[in-house]
Amino acid sequence: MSDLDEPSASEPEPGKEHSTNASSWQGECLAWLRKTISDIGQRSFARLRKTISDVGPGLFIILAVEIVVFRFLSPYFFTVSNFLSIGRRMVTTGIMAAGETIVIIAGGFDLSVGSVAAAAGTGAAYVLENTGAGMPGGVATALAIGLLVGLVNGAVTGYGRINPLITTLGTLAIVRGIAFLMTNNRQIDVKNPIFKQLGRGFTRENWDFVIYYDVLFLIGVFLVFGFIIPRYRFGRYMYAIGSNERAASLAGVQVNRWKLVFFGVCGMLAGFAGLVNSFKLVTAAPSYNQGDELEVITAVILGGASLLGGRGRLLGTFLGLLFLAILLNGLVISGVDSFYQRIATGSALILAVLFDEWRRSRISRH
Amino acid sequence: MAEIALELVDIEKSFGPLEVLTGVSLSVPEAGCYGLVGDNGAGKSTLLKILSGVYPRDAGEIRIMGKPVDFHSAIDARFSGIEMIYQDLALAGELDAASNIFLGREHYRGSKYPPFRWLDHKRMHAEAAKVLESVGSRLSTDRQVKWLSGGERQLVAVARALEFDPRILLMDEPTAALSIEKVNEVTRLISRLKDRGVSMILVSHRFTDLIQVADTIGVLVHGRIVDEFEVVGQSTDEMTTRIVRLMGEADAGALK
Repeated sequence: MSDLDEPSASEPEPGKEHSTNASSWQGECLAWLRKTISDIGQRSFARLRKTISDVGPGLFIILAVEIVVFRFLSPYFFTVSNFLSIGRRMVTTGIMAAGETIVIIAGGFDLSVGSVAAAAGTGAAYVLENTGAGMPGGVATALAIGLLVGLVNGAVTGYGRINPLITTLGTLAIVRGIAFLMTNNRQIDVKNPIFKQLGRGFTRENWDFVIYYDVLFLIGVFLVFGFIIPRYRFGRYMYAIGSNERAASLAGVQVNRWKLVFFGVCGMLAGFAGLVNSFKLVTAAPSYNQGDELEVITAVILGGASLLGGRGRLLGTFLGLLFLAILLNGLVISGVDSFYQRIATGSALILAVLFDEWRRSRISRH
Repeated sequence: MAEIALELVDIEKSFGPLEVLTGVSLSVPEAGCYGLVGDNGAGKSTLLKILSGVYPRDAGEIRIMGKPVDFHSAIDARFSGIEMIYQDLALAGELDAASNIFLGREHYRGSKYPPFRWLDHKRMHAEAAKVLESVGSRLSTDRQVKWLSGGERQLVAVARALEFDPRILLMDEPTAALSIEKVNEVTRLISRLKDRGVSMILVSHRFTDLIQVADTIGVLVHGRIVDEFEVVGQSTDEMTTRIVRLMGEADAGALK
């Protein structure tokens, strides 16, 4: 997502060209700053172009078509408040999808994200309401639950050599079950004021919209990982292991250790998603987020990631999420029966994969 | 006579009751190219795995530049100066050529320790281009390996191995990735590697390819080198009949 840096903002302003004195240190600083900014600008522009060609133009086109269609189907669609609600709808699944993208690129798969989110949300609420640990304790609990389940997933698939589908199908059930056991299937309402505040947003007198904190969390997660992936071994090995695990291992990459990292990060993000979800609802229950994994995986696949591993982009996942959120929102406000939503999600998944296969077979024939 | 880079003395290996190698001895001079011919099941891949540190040997000695060495893992073999190029080349198709060449030992810039050090893409691409050029390739380093031809991929794999600065390069079925007409690409590659002072062991069952590129041919039959000869001064037909006869005898022996 760092690929989205605005390239035009970094071009040197022509008006300031002669205002510097080269002998003064301010002048040198300014010149250095200007050069650095223009370098970054050029590089991010090149990266932006590469990213778009990686994600494929298809997703951008269907997204545009979708927006135009709903624009005509409903007068309420193209309003600021509706786009805000689309943004809020993306938050929980979006944070999970960032982690899922990492695991899928690395050749894995994680079905347990929905269960982890629910368990982490209830765990955080429980700690907040029943102990004196306060907000830091609550946040730490949610992240720790996510990390723990993620590490278990990573260890079983890596060291245990069990198919990730089987592993995470197991933890999906186990984690959900433990969450029900611990809370006796009770909903936990949170009264902590900071917690409640984080579920809302802020606005100014002359604004006619609200900036929600949870949308900022979503954007933050994508920016952080968009920064990390191209700059650290984390991103490099994620693609390498997903592309050819044996080659990575022969090159000296500690494949199983890295699987712990990838699944651990995915679990932690799912835990964070559960926490943010309970900010929004000011309550948490072990029955939340059921079936979220379907939406998460659909978004990742729509975004161009390959289930065989090695291929995928965070920007693609973000656009996939946006596509799904707009689709579901548009159906609702156009007055389509809500039963069609699931049908639409499933169809979108299959069509996306079909389109992807068709495009790839065309490329490889050349 | 050049110095001996790699010497094997009576290498033996068995898996339970199955004796796979029954005393293999060979030596490769510096910048020499040794072609090891053998049928399926002759023990070629076992020998390669012992040399690359995957299997331990049961008996015998491995000497590199005259010094006996002992490997317990592929990393040990790499530190002793032996690099292996696998038949499938072991490249990550989704990564570009430069990323493959530096996989597992990336260059960084910035501070010495994480998190304030970043992958130095510029340096890795520049060095990748340099090492590719040294094997005679002008391949663009930012092309994904999956879009490359078999020959180009092989060059990436060789460039990758050369970045470790090996003394000895083991290549399993080096001509398998190429079409028959492109064997001269391998020949050219091998003469470039010789210029760098690298010794090679090429292992293949396609002896017609090997006799075009190797200096010395060894014929491995049932875990033993039954014949060894210099390629120089012999005609292709002569060598072919010689190898075929040996392998044929082996088959006849196996039927008894």
